[in-house]
Amino acid sequence: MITAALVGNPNCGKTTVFNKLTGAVQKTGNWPGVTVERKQGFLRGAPKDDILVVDLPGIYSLSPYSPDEVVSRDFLIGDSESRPDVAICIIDASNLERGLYLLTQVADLRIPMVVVLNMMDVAEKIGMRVKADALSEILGCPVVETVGTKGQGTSAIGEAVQSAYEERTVPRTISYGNAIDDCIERLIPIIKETVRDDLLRWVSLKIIEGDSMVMAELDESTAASARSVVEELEQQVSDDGMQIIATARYKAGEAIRDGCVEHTESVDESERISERIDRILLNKYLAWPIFALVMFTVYLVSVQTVGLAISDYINDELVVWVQDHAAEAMDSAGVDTVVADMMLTGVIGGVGAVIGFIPLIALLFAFLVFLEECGYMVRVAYMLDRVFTYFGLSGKAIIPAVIGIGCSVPAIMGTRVIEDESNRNVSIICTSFMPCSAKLPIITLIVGAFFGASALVITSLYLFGIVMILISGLFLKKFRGFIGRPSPFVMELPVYHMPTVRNVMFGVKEKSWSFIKNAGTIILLSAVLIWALSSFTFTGEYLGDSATTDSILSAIGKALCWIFVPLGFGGSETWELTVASFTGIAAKENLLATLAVLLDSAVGIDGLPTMEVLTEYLSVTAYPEAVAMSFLIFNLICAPCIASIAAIYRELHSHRKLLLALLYQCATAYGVAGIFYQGYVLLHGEVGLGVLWLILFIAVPVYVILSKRPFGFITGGKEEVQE
Amino acid sequence: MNLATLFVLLIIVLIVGGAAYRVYRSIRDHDTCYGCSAKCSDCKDGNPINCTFEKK
Ligand SMILES: Nc1nc2c(ncn2[C@@H]2O[C@H](COP(=O)(O)OP(=O)(O)O)[C@@H](O)[C@H]2O)c(=O)[nH]1
Ligand SMILES: [Mg+2]
Repeated sequence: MITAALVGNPNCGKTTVFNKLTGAVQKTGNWPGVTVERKQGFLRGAPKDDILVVDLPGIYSLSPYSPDEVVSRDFLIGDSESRPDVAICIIDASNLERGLYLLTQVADLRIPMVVVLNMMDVAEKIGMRVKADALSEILGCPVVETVGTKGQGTSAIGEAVQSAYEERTVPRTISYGNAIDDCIERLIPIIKETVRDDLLRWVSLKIIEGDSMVMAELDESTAASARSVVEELEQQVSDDGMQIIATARYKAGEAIRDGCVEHTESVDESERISERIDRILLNKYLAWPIFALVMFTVYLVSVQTVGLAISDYINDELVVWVQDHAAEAMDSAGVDTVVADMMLTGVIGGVGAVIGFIPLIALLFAFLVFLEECGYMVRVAYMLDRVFTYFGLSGKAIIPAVIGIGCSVPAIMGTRVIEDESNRNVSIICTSFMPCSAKLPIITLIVGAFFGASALVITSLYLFGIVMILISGLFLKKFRGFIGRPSPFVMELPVYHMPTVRNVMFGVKEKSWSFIKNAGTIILLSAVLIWALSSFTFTGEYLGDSATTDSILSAIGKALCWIFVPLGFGGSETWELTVASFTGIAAKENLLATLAVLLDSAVGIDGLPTMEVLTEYLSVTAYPEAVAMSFLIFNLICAPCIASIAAIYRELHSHRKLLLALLYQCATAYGVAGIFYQGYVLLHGEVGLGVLWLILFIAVPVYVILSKRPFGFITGGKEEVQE
Repeated sequence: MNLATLFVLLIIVLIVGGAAYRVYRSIRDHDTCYGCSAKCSDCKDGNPINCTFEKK
């Protein structure tokens, strides 16, 4: 069996080619950092031996700056038995320099190599002709031209891998100029004892670069004598080692490029168009208003107008129709009322409340996947980058934030693109502040019931998520383990292109799937459980289908609801909201199913549309819209669903940190919802005890953020907080 | 209890039992990732693919 590793820059089309080679359907994205773990699959139609293809995360270099670079590097180096047999180096033909910069590093590893020139169509469009045979001549290894999206040329990769393996076509040694080559000659005898033969040249180069991971593996005396050789070189060239190598690599890359590229007459149409579009979309003054407008339009269509109309129809017509007919049928057949109620309220009502939102979610994701695929989202990231670094966060934290609009689980795992451990911790904890797709129905329900389904309010809630992440950046920086250095996000803006329908559909299906999966499992189970707990008393007496007052669940809810008094929904007349907040831990859609099961009987009027049920239900409180909003804010920010909690644990690797994370999320949710509710009450002229809560909720974070050493008084000032 | 009640009860038991089994199975197979539409159990052992989101 041949193991072949796919290496390449982010966004060069690795995953697209991987999918074509293996027949797998992995998510592609016009977005760096989509592949954070390595994936593997067998090549379809391999010419002779089985070929196992491993898709590695996209990287710019083999320096260990970020976890994805380390994953790729470790895999390529391997140990003497288990390194890949062949490296398939994918290069975006329209962006040769960057690809060649990485290629020179892979070439130094002395693994048999196959070069894939992908995106030949784009290269052609911008007026470049890359001559594959010339490149193959220069490098001394097979070169295949492909268009990944169309599957053009990918079938030749298998043959190339087979021949590279049989003939061990290690690329020619790339010269980095006399000074460096001499230095390598002198380093090799020093490290010969400790380093594998095939890696001698690569390790020498890394020593010149001062690569910390390589240096750490050398013993002290070797390292010292190697350092002195490198210092001589540094003096000779009067630059530091890292810079010397980087420059030499770029030069080598340029030389290779010049040997194989011809510029044709045709103008770079799409690039020019992209530039023109960017002049407007990334304009200093227009960029933000346009971004706001785009998001507003997305929510206007997918939620406020079309999406809500469809969902309303399903919720208020279809589900009710099914319920009515089922009720009639069961009634005439003489089904026992308890069983009938269980079917109608528990099963149909609970699941129906969630199912109705699928079209709305699908519509939203059709828009978002489109924006991502066409290249706009990466520009949004570029805009947000500056804001994030300003707040001391890594610019790359935007990637999880955007993925988090779909689901927090992959978003939390997506934080692995962030190099700085402390910044990554902040991101892991805050990513779920972005409303995920499961929270969207709750948003829709509440904004629909109290704020006319305003797209403006909904858009603001997403911006609110970003703001909360930024504030958390400032706040958490005061704790040990969270003090990170901001690192800007180096990325290239790809040219705009029209996404394929297939890609958009795939994205939509993937994002909506968890809904269907959950509705039939977790939601259904908890809806039935909630129904049972709310329909019976402790003595097992059935309460009838319009009373929950003395039920087991109401006793539990009333025993716990005082927790939420400062947030406005802790009164015993709204104990259902407390219960719903707790059931949200299983899955956030569950809030909805729970309310669907509980509220009808709380309101006591049959056949009202869901939103009116909610309005009616909250009309007993003094400020219904404030209570609803506070409930919403709390549930958007507080600890995420159990699947996300598991993901947070996997990424933080520590019970203690997990506990801190959950505590931070819940406390933040509590504080922010409290500020909203108490502020609202105060603004309406009611001055009471609530003011104390307001002061507390505002004072604590302000103190922590402003003070230099907020916990100095606890630890006696020993704790050092560096800026 | 009449036959119709028994029938509806049976349906409920089947639905709820099915859901419970699916939850049990997803936990047993570590198939709890919401980020992917494929069943994790379909992707195990490098065939056809390893999950994007699973730890090594
Ligand atoms: N025009 C064109 N687009 C491509 C080609 N290969 C991939 N893409 C697109 O480039 C983007 C990035 O691809 P992806 O496979 O996710 O890149 P990765 O980050 O290297 O895995 C996607 O939008 C693909 O549809 C190609 O040969 N031509
Ligand atoms: Mg990828």
